Amino acid sequence: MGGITRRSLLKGAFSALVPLTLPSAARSAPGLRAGTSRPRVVEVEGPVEEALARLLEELGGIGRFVRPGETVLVKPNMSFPYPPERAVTTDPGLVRAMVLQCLEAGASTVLVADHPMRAAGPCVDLTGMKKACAGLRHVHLIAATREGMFRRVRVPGGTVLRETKVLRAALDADVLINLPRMKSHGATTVSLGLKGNMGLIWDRRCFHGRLDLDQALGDLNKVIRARLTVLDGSRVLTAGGPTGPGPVLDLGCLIGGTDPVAVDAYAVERVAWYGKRMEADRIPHLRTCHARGLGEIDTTRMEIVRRRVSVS
Amino acid sequence: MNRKAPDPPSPPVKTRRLKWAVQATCFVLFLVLFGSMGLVPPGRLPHRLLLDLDPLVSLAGLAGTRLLWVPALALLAATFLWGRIFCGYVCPLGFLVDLADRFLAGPRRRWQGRGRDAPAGSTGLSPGAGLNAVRWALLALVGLGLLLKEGLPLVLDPIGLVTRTFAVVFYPLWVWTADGLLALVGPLAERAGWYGIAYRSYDLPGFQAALGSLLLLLLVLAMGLFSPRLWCRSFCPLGALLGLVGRWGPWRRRVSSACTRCGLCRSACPMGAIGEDPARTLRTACIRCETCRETCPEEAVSFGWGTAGADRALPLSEGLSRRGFMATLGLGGTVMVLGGLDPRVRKARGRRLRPPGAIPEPDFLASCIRCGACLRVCMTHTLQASGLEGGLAAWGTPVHDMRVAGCEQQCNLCGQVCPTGAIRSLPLVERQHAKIGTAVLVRERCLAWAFDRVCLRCDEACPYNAIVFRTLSGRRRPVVDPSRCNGCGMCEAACPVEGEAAILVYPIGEVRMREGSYREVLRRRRIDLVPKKDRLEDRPRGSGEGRWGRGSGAPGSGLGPGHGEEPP
Repeated sequence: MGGITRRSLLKGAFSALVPLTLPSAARSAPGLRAGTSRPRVVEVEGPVEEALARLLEELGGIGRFVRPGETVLVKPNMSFPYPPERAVTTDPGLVRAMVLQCLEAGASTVLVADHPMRAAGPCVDLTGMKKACAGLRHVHLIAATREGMFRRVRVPGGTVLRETKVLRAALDADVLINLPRMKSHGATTVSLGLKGNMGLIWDRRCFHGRLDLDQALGDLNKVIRARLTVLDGSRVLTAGGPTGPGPVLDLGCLIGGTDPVAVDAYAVERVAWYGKRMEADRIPHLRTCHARGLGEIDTTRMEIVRRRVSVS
Repeated sequence: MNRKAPDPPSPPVKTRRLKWAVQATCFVLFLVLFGSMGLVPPGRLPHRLLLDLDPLVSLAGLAGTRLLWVPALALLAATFLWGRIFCGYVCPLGFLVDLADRFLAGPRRRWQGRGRDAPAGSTGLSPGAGLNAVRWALLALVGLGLLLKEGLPLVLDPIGLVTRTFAVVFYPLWVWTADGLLALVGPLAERAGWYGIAYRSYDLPGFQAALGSLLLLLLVLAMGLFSPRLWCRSFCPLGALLGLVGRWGPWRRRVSSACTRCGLCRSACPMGAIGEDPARTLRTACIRCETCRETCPEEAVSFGWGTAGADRALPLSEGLSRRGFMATLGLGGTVMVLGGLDPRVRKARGRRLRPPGAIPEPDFLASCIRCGACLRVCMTHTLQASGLEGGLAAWGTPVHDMRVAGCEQQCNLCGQVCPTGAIRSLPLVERQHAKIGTAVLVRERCLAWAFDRVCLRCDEACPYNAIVFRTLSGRRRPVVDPSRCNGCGMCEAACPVEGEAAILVYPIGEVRMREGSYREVLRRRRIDLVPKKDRLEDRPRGSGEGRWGRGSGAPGSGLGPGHGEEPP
């Protein structure tokens, strides 16, 4: 499969620029942009730092996503107080590498934020996030735990979710970069980029109780859309998620792209979950998101780029 | 403290100022050590310093598992040399009592109508002397309680009392204030780019025994309405013990021949420690505040080493009414015994869950001084002080409220701060095997079972993968695998059902031991909660019946050899 062609580069640059010219409301929900054919999904195998650099390169460079002076919100998974070896939270090395990339691109502020499921203190410590963000200027670690940190937003066209409270910083940031761990999930089979966005809202209980989880995820992803999604597949929890413990597969790769559904869909088919290979459209929330026009689910209609890097 | 009472005769005021300064310093030290508990790791600062110094706490440690004698012996040695200096200069409760006494001085005078120097009681000591027997009875009760394994009298230990009150009353108020202010300035701070402030928050702790604790403290402080330091001279069991130890020491009060027997010192003494003959001292009461020296217009009073020219001690029995002693001992003993016989205390009820590492219940009740240190450091606030619903004898002891939050499995702070080892200090792996109980799923209330919803919050929350699935009518329904359940309660806290959760932790299978390895015990029960990378593979196939169920896109039961398989 091909590398970067001039055509694809131009197309990518165009699709990145178009939303910038639109008012921010339309930018945050560019579901209509799915007309861009063949979304590019990049998989890079190798140590996280080098792999991330290469992955961004394949997507047109970090400058395509972050422009000087912008506020970036990087959303890793730091919901559980476990070390990255358990493969339930994002690798702190990857988070730091991403933050450095953003700073290099001229970001004025980089926020690393999540709404932890467990006690915030141990979460930021034991996941290594505190250390990952330590000593960096203009970088702030946010473990959001108070309702006041979230702002109510309406979900236009939401089928089950009419409104929800989203982390203020995520709404106000210029760029949202989703950096979830690739892992299994008892209720949604996989927890990748689309499911990871639940870490930016306040009330998650209703997703399970009152609402249909898969439909609600479709609605949620209409309001929260990352400009870039990079899945941490350095280790993959293939069963027993989202908390673990479970079997950890040392996949050793990152999977990224701008189409969140495509990235997730590719990742679903990349490994065996719960000991089984499956197609992306067997995952209900992916199907829902695809049906809402949020992205491509068919891997044959993606431009897949696979690269391998080694330590320089 | 800067409110200086006008002292009509003005000999050197030095000691009084020094006393306030030392007291305030010690109090601030207490606040700093206490406040940093849970923020600064226990190894880094002696958070429990005052509790460790307290010999009654060390005694309780005999019933518990922490034998820390050095600080307590040091205090006893100092007390032998200098008398009750701890009460006069160090004790945080003593400081609060002194503060309250200042505020209450006006009402006290008006109330009693007769001024400060009213002699009362047959003993010739100042007001409140008739109650002196109470502290001896309370001290005896503490000792008796240790023998009978009843820890209730320890509730009155002053250091425990003040620590508890700060843990469950003042600390929550402080957090509430701080968090409220942060919430207020948050949006502004965010606009200014101060994300550190904008997104800082503190979990609001709230404790069910808060009002009871506050009442007890207010009761102690309100005693100042009758007489200054009434708690310290007549009720405090620690004061009684220290007074006893300090009675024969070499540092003494002495009264020179310049004494005119005017009686000013006697009425000024906050502890009522001076006899009708001012040269006689009730040494078990004297806290070395030297008020007498400062009050004496003739400068006839001094303090110093040696017996030559020293005061004569009033007999131990001075001001002691046998009736008062017996009445208190009888009443207190009755309350203690009846409280202990309460079936709610003797036999675990419903869902009384003790923190991981809590020693067997009788020892636990005997050694827990209800100081609230564990409540203070508990990062999820699942630990609550037992109210009266658990029986009076268990009042103030830590219990889990899993609906508030689950027990964080990566945290072992409660055991680290417990001053008596009622909760053992355990390494993380051991602590994770100190089984609190077992979760029981109530199908009638469960969203997945009774309402056919896709809800797997319990599974999502479980740190041990103890929730497994069974497929029924095409839907996956959660089931608890008891062989993996630690009883941490994450599931109960996460359950989205309103009101009582559909999954509840009961003390079924809890492990309570004074010594030995929890992991070993669980291993014998075939429970191993340590996550293993390949643990799913080393379980016999098919044993996890329907573990990941079938419906809604999730693949079939059991695990093929497939994970780890290379992609095509």
